[in-house]
Amino acid sequence: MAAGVGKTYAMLSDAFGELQRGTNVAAGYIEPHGRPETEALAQRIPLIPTRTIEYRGISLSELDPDACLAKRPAILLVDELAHSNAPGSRHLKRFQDIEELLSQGISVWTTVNVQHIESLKDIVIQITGVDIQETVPDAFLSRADEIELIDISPDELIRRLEMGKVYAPEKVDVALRNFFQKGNLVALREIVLRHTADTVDAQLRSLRTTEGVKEVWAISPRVLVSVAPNRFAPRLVRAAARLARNLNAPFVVLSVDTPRTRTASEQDRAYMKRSLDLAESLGAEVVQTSGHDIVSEIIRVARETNSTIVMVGKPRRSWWFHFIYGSVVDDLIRRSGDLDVYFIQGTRDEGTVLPVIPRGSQASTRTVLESLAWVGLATLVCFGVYSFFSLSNLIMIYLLAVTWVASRYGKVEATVASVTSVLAFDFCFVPPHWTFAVSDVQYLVTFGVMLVVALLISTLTLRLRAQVQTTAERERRTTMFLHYSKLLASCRSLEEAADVTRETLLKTINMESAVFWPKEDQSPVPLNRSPLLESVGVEEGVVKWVADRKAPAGKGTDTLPGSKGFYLPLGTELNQAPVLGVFPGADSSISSVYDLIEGLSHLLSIALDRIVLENEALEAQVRAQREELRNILLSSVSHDLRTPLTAISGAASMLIAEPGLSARAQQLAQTIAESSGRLTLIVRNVLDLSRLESGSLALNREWHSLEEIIGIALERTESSLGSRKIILHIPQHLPLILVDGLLLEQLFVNLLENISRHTQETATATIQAQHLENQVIVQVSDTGPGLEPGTESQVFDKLVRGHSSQGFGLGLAICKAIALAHGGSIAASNQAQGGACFTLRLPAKDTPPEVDHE
Amino acid sequence: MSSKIKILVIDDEAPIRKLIKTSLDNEQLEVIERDSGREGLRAIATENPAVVILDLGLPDIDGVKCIEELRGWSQVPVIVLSARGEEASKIRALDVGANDYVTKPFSMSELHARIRVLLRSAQPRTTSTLPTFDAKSVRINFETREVWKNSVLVHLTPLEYQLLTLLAQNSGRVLTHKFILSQVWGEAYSRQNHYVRVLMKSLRHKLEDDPARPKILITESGVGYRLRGES
Repeated sequence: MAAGVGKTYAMLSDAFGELQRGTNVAAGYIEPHGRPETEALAQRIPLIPTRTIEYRGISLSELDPDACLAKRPAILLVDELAHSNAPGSRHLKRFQDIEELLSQGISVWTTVNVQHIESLKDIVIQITGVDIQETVPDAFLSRADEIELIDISPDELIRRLEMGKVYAPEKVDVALRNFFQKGNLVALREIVLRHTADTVDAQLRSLRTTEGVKEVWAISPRVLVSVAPNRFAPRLVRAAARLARNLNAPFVVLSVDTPRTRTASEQDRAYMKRSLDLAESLGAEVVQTSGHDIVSEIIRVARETNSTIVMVGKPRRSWWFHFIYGSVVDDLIRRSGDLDVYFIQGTRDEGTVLPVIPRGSQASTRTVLESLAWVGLATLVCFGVYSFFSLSNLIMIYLLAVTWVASRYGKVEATVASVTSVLAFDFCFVPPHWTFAVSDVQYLVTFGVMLVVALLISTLTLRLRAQVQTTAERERRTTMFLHYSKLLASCRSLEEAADVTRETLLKTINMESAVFWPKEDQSPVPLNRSPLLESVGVEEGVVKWVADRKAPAGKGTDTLPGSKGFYLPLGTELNQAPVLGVFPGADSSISSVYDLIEGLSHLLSIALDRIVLENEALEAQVRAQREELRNILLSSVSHDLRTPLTAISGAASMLIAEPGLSARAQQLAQTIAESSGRLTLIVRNVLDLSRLESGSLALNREWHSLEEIIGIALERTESSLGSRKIILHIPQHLPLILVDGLLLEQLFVNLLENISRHTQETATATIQAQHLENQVIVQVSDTGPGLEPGTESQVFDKLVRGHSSQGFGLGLAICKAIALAHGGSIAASNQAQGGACFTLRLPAKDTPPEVDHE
Repeated sequence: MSSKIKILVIDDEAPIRKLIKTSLDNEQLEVIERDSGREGLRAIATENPAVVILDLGLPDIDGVKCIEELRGWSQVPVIVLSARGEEASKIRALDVGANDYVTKPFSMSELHARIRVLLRSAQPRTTSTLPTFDAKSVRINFETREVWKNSVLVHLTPLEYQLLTLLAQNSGRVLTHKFILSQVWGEAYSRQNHYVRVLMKSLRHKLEDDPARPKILITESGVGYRLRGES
């Protein structure tokens, strides 16, 4: 409700209760206000050290979010939610610190006075007359799981104040006379009670909805508020938010970009931006459109968003202003149809000042004198033609001078010229001459009309100039964007794009800039060199923050405003956004060029995306070419090796069969045959493995019978297995499996050849298959020496050999590659009774097809 | 003209040609060598060989094309030489009219056996007129449509009998899945290779001593099946 009601004390005593229950409670920041009871309680709660910031010779202590994140308490106490952080902190406001802590999963207890709630600010100012700078958006408060109201009667509060429990004695009197008047306190109490009741009501309602309680469906109203770039805008948004909340309705904030708003002053634009930010923080939907006729845009958007209530501001202007420019309000009433229209009364200085003075035309003594000289010149000309022309034509010459002045100078000069023209005309040419007195009353009408016409012409001329200037400015920007996008299109590397961006920004708005490319767990790297960066260095913290959160930060924003640069995330498809940093000089502001930088950042984002994708495509192409080359090489090598091998083994086998060969020659022929056989095997294995590992092998899956595949493998290894006994346990009703038959056959051939290499001729090999749930498991075991203990998982690595020195260990590596290609696995183990056992698991999820037997 | 039987070898690799020539040349056989597809086709027309041994990887014409062209005007038996991992081209060659294949590196005895089978079947048919067919322990009587194994009558389903007789009639020759499907089930089933596998499995369980290590109904991996009549 207000200072002194005991919020901090209430929070601390609740927290102390939690602490005694064993919860990990810590205080991130407690404002002691020098109250003894509060301090006594605060000392019993573990405090996370605060950050001390030196600012203009005073040291200020602030909440340290990083320390809190490091400590990670279950409940963190942070006093004074609405506090504004000292310059140099990460965020402008304490609630933003808390937002970050919440997003990292830390529960926070905090305190706030009612006057700091954004949507209640205006009302509180109205009641108390005290301006409030520090506010907390309603959207933030509505995220609270629980709101506890600390209520105290106004009399009690005043008593506490008088007892010195709230402020130091010397401040009490001032406080009692200003904020702490009883009337104020009663009103504040009512506001806070109502606000809490509303919040509780909203919670109850959402509870009812989530629990499935059916409500009567009323057509839910929606409030649309139209804002224009003027001081009135934020107030209008707050009023709409209040109305919407009272109606429990969503609200839409509309800003229409019309030719008139484009000429708004920089200050008014800032109001507009602030009010749209405010609208978002209050939970509004923000719609921005453009059009010539503001009223038809309002009506169109109202229909589109299904809004039944339209709110507009009604800036107070004089009748003649409305007469000349027309009034949005009157127009809206005429055309609103079934919409309810609410007007919010403004004050005179809140409206946009029209027409706008063209920039760069600050009136100076020199320009005023010059404009007076033009009027003087007109007077001289009039003297020259006085004897030939009638008086009314002389007026034309003066008007010409006024138009000339208006087309060259600003508003002040134009007005001065208008008035002096009338005076000069009266003084020099209207009888009686050389006096301001007028003989005929009808000349007064002439003067009046002349003044009005002069003023009108000068105003219109000035507006025309303003429009020409805006058009020229827009034209310049369009050309710049066009040029920029052309340059970007020709960029082939990220660095080039960054350089082009820097040059463009330097040329158009005279600001240094850089593009940063954040890498995982590394400091962000600037893509381009810039003399400024070299002297200032990279502001790593803020760049990383922007890249992670994908939100702008730095100078001119609420986050880390003390930075040298303004940083904007580039909306690429990449995981960590690249960041555009712009460094305005000391005397220039970001807000005036924000639109331009934003528009440019979109173009840059697209270009960076394109470059990254292009590079990836290029890489893929190179990879594909390399793969193709490798395949060509492999097949030619395989062909070249196979042909001589065929000849060697063929010749050797013929030699063995040759009758009448000596025993010695027979033995030599046998050696040739065996060695060429082994060489054939090695060539085959090398080729198989490289084909499997290159990933270029497409599985030719068909439904196979395991029995048949093992049968072929046994036949192929028949000669090498020799007299070894083979025992098969393959159930007859084992389902068909969807595999590449040739590869699986090769797998078993390799396993069997492995057995023939590592076991004696007397050994026995057993092949056992079973179907378990979604798997077919095949075990190939032998009664040989088994695997060296500890090498069970290594045998599938390339070039690992068993006990025997024969053969490269490629066979088992191929087995593993084949099993993996089928989504299965293979493992080796030693059996308890001795001998190695290889277990192949193949997925058998798909149902085998029906077979048409008849 | 000599009365020797001519064998034409078409291969661009001289060592292979030489090996085959050395191994085959004897009193009954004469080996003619050609090193390209074009030359080979001309030699088939002019020399009238009894069997052609054709390498699939020829430098000028693709082996499969060569067979296609050849089949337009000649029914000479063709044995294809191919490498492992080239099953697809083997099957294509068989489908367009090659009679058999051997996989490099092949043994000479294997090649001899294949040539013998082809030379025999090229002779006027004597086997098909016989009412019975014997393959090891299995006897088929085509007239009574009965099958015995070790003199014990075996009951076969109509499809099993059809498959068995198809293989028996082409004894020693490799039959592709596609061919078997079209003959036993009909043209519409040309892609259901697993039909053949399932039927073959049940046939083996009825006729083979050890169905996992068949001695009669042999699998030609990746290509099809072959009935091995003699040992």
